[in-house]
Amino acid sequence: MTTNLIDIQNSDVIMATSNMAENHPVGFQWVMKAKERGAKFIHVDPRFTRTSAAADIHVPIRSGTNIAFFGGLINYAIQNNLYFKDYVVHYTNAPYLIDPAFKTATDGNGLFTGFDAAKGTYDRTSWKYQLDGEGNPKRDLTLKDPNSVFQLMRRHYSRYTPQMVERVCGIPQAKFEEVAKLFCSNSGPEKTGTITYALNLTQHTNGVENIRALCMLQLLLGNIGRPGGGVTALRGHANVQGATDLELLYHELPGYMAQPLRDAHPDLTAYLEKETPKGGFWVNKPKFFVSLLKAFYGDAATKDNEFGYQWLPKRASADAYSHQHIFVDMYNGVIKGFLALGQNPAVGGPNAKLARSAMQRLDWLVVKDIFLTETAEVWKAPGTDPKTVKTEVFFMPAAPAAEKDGSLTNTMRLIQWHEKAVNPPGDVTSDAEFVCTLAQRLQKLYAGSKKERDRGFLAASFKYGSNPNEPEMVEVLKEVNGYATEEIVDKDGKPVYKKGQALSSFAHMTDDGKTAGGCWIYTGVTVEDADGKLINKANARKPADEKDYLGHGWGFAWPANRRILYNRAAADLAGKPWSEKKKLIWWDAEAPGNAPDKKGKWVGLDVPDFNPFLAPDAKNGDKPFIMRTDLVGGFFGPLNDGPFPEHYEPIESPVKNLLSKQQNNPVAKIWKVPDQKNELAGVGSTDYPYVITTYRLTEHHLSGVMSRYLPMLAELHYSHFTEISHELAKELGLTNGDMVTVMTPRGKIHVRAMVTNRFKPFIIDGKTVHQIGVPWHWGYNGIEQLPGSKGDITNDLSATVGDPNVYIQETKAFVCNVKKGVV
Amino acid sequence: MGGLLQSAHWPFLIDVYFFLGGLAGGAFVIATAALIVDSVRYRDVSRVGYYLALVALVPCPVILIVDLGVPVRFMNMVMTFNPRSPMSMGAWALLGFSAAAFLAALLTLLEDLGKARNLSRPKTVIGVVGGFLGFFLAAYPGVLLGATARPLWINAHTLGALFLAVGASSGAAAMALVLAALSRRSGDGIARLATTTVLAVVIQLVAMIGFVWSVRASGSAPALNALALITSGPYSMLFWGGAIVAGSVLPILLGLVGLMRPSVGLTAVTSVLVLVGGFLVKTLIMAAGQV
Amino acid sequence: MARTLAMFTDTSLCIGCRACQVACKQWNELGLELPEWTGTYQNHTHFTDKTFRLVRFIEEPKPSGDLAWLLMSDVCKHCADAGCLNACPTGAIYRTQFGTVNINQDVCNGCRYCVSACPFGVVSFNENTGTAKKCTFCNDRIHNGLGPACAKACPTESIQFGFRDELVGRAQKRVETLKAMGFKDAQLYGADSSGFLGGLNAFFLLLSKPSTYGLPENPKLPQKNIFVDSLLSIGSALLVGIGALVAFRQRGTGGEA
Ligand SMILES: Nc1nc2c(c(=O)[nH]1)N[C@H]1C(S)=C(S)[C@@H](COP(=O)(O)OP(=O)(O)OC[C@H]3O[C@@H](n4cnc5c(=O)[nH]c(N)nc54)[C@H](O)[C@@H]3O)O[C@H]1N2
Ligand SMILES: Nc1nc2c(c(=O)[nH]1)N[C@H]1C(S)=C(S)[C@@H](COP(=O)(O)OP(=O)(O)OC[C@H]3O[C@@H](n4cnc5c(=O)[nH]c(N)nc54)[C@H](O)[C@@H]3O)O[C@H]1N2
Ligand code: SF4
Ligand code: SF4
Ligand code: SF4
Ligand code: SF4
Ligand code: SF4
Ligand SMILES: [Mo]
Repeated sequence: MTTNLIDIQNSDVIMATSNMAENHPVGFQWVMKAKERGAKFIHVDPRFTRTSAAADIHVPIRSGTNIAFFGGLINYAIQNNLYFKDYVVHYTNAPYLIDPAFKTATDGNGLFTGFDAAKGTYDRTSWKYQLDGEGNPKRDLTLKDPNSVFQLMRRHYSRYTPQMVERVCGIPQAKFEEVAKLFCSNSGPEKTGTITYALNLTQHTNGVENIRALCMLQLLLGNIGRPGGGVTALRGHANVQGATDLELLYHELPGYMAQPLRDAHPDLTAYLEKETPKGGFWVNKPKFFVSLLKAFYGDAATKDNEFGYQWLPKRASADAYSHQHIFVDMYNGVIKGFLALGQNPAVGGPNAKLARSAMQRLDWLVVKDIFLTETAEVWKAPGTDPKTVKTEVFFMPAAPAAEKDGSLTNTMRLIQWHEKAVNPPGDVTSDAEFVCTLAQRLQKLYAGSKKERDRGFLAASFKYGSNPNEPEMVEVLKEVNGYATEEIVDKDGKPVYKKGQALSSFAHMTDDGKTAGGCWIYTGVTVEDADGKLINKANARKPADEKDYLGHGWGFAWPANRRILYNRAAADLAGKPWSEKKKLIWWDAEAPGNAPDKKGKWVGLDVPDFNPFLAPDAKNGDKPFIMRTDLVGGFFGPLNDGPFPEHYEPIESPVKNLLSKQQNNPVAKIWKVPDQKNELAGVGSTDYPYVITTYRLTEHHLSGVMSRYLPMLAELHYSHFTEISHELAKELGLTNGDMVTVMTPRGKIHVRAMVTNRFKPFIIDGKTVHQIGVPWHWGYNGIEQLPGSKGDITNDLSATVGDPNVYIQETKAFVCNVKKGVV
Repeated sequence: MGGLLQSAHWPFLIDVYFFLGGLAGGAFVIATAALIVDSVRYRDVSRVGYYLALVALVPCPVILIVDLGVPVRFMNMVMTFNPRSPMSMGAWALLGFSAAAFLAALLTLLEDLGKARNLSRPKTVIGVVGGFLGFFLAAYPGVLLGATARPLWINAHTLGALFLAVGASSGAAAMALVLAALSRRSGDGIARLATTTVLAVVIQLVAMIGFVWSVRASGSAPALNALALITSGPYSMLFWGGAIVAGSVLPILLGLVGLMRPSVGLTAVTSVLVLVGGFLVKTLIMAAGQV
Repeated sequence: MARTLAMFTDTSLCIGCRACQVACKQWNELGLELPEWTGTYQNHTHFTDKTFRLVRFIEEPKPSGDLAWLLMSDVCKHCADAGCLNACPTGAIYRTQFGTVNINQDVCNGCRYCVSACPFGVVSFNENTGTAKKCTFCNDRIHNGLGPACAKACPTESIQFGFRDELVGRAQKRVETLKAMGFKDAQLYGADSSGFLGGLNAFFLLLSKPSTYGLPENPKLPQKNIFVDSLLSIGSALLVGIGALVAFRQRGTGGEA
């Protein structure tokens, strides 16, 4: 997220589009703090949840229509002149002119210029700026040019009227206008608002565009980089932020650098050429990338062998090895072995029936977990004859957080250290121990190999600290942080770093192999004093106080302990705070500069996310979005499915798209799986007439392993259930507590019906559309004495379809049928 | 019925205890009254009364102890003296009354065995002291129920009076029944016991009316719901047919008949009706109050 | 006696996360309990011998027609005039130096009188130990300088712990603020020590009238009845006693002696 949860207390209006109170209850304290101060709170969710209970306004929205909603807000802000003009003109690409060949979806009946129907992809050549003679983008600061991003955006969203929002989303027009007015009028120098999101926006076939739409609204209202503003992304698992930073992902390497593609990136030069932008902070990518290779391969990485670039595994295609793809490959026999470390795809992944069948076709499966999960026992899943499963399954007990040292990075980019409280029992080992010892054993196995491709693996070191079998986690953190691989001296020959000394800033990284660093954005989390004593800043424990409300002394937030990103935007062009109330960092012309004879520095309540000595009137001194090539916030931003978010219906929907002829995201990913393992319902299917969404409950955790097995948590809900409106219950003849069967073309589940006022049918274009909700925490294992701790797997209902940019599943909106009783 | 309130869910045995304790107390008091009026003339009445009191009392502490969650800690009840707790007072009363009932029965036995001639004097002393405790034992369960948060009980104010009257009526009826069984003749004692019974039943009926009236007057919805269980709900047959008509009204009528034409058989029938009625009154109030 | 401690549960800040309910179970090592189908998220319906903190979920339409989901974390009130304490015949229930009400598990003999005597349905009977159970106000923690586990776990400071006098002041300010924000039914429950039951040491801020939450509007101390009930009993005793004397003294009825 661009901001920090603590800072929500400074918001004047907060719009939660996720179920924050239930899924991020600890962070939600800051929403309550803001409310105590009088801030208004809006909750956008198909259901009335515990978050809605805390809200001033609950906005029920049909699942999967988020772009229609945000588009409506963007349109409203523009039509009613509620955007923050100074901010938009100077800090965003709104005034930039786009190639005249480009046409928005308003003119293309739902498609942008360049769609290639045969390939199912966009040709994006017209999606670019007009350049002047010097190669700089042309701008029109009046925002009037019809080819300006602003005018294109206005035109694109002109269809997204309040009436249209009502017809598509099912939000009554009056309610929409009330919310639009409330949110958009809390903008300008004196006011800010924030928006939270999580899976409610991501788990759709236009998941990335959903988030872009949100960001655009925030840019339009001048809400990014300012106190109480921001894009509040609420991440998932305790360390999912850390996992993405360190890139436990299929398509990137640590620090958000692309995992090389087989065809596009044949060598290091080609890779760096293609991947390094011409402007913005990312021009430093070669330094970060080479340092990463040095961290991987140590001394074996030299200039002569491209620092070991060729040893990196390369991706076959953009979607290869993405989560859903892996299970399709497993099912097709392409993947034969699977290490499942701390995940439970038998329950948690989309189309879980497919996932279980796929795992039952493996040669071997290793599960390392703190509980015996459904995945670990996939060979005896209901409906399976264990004798027919040839998969050899190994279960390795894992030590949970309390039994090991380490760090977690939370949703605020805050790296926090935890210390081992007790030793793990018996043979139980930590994940780090498992991975390091496994790697070392494999290295022994491959020791004699002469193959070039094995050299990198053999060169990599999996030893941290004195005992090779017990990695010292602080040493791992130091490698991630980065260190000098040899002595580094400054211009005058004075030593800056001793060999092996931890780097204090990623600004010191080089592309010549003199520095190594496992994840450049983390640099600074450990520093070494002159005596070589390592200071672990992730373990810093000074809480926030009145002087430092953002709590810089607590943990370490990447990058460089900044708590609010792009915070240069909190000051106006001249470097003064937009208002006293909303001050964060500002230009102090009298402060000592970066040389004895120079004056002027950015100072304030946060670490500047900017060159601290770059004066506002210097070149680019007024451009806050330093990570972007053009240094400004992007309304126009080419993704695989378009430069502006456009509403499309979910792949499965009961209704036709009212905004254009284009029913679905034209470039969405739909995997073809044999044996009818991924059947989809057609538009307006009468067999599957209801919208279904899946979600979490405060009391349970994800696939439920960490809550269903614990009596204190498991007993809090009687059993698996589905939430159904009184209206639908009446149609189906249901009373609260009846067993029902929920079915989709993929599978069916038996759950109890919770008939509630908290779900209401939607009126979509004049017709009633019912939606139901099903939490997805149940599986076939649980506590014997507590029958309700076991239940059918909700993901047996969902499909293997994904967003075209990151291939995330569409588990927030699809269609189903509901029948009374167990059928 | 109590909304979010909870109930002790005392088992049926506690109803038995309340009934027997009341009966014992009632019998003891009536035996003492007879003794005071004419120890010679009503020798049998007071004999039967004291013996009956002891017999009825014997199961009481057993029931109480068995019902406790931690029976071995029964003694904790008599390690504290809490005048704000009817149960504490009741425990002490039970202890004191047991002593009195034991002594009274012992002295009576000594007389009966011819070991002593006339022990009326000490018996009178024990009888008066024990009589107070006996009445206390009969009444305290009602006060105890009234001092809970159960809507039916907290809103009624005559439960102590009612329970005491039931104790007296059932004590008298039981004595009459025993005497009748022993003598088969309509003696003076039986007749006077019959009169006492009728008197007690009348008071019982008045207290019952007071109970219904005070609950009604409270206007509390849960209390009215609980009351409705008795007056019109599942317990209404037992209540109207058993406790009121057969157990109170009929005995009064029969008692009036008996006043004109005393008959052992009639007294016996009346006594049985009174005993059943009294037991039903207590049991139904206990049950309805705890739903 | 030390300065009175209290818990202030501000339902306007509650998000129904039930961290308090679980923290209490964990700290007090209260074991597995079978849930029941309540038709909503709440479990269980009542306080039990293993649930000392209970989050109630109350769906109620607002006057505007919108839905309100009232969330309330309920607990033993630690009444200044405590029905349970008065009722206890063994002295197992006692008032601590901090003003809280606790059950001594080594003294309780399981008579269950306190169960019926609590005006809020708090005390519950445990079949295994044979004793009565309820919130201890984390007796072990407050005697070691820690606040209650439930308050500690609450993410929104819906449960606040501190000295009673200070908390009451804070609570009163909060009600004013809420009223100014338009919550016209916001009110304190049990904060007033001259009010019912002498004030509650665990008091609440409610957003609707108490009965909406299932709380008695004006709870009575059950023991208040003892005096009147006893007088009526004495009256009854006199009538019966005198009646019996008269019945035996009367001349001439019946046959021979
Ligand atoms: N207690 C608890 N906390 C958790 C987790 C847990 O399992 N338990 N999981 C963690 C993880 S891994 C994650 S990723 C996060 C997820 O956090 P959230 O995204 O908040 O989680 P969900 O409950 O999956 O979905 C949120 C809401 O989206 C709504 N919704 C469905 N479709 C739409 C839509 O189209 N638009 C809008 N606006 N809303 C929609 C659903 O009704 C649901 O209430 O939570 C984290 N926190
Ligand atoms: N229908 C539907 N499906 C969804 C979602 C949805 O909203 N709807 N949400 C999706 C999201 S956002 C997520 S994050 C996924 C989650 O899906 P999974 O990650 O598969 O589910 P978890 O239950 O979190 O599995 C984590 C496992 O790690 C184990 N574990 C805990 N600590 C450790 C440790 O230290 N070491 C090891 N080795 N194991 C440990 C736990 O016991 C648990 O079994 O589900 C996705 N699936
Ligand atoms: S479970 Fe952990 S990460 Fe999630 S809200 Fe609670 S404390 Fe925070
Ligand atoms: S609420 Fe009930 S249990 Fe708690 S102190 Fe008051 S009377 Fe006792
Ligand atoms: S059950 Fe225990 S605590 Fe309750 S009144 Fe009886 S002895 Fe006292
Ligand atoms: S004070 Fe302690 S015992 Fe009482 S509810 Fe809170 S955690 Fe439970
Ligand atoms: S922990 Fe706090 S917010 Fe959560 S349910 Fe309890 S009182 Fe409410
Ligand atoms: Mo997640």
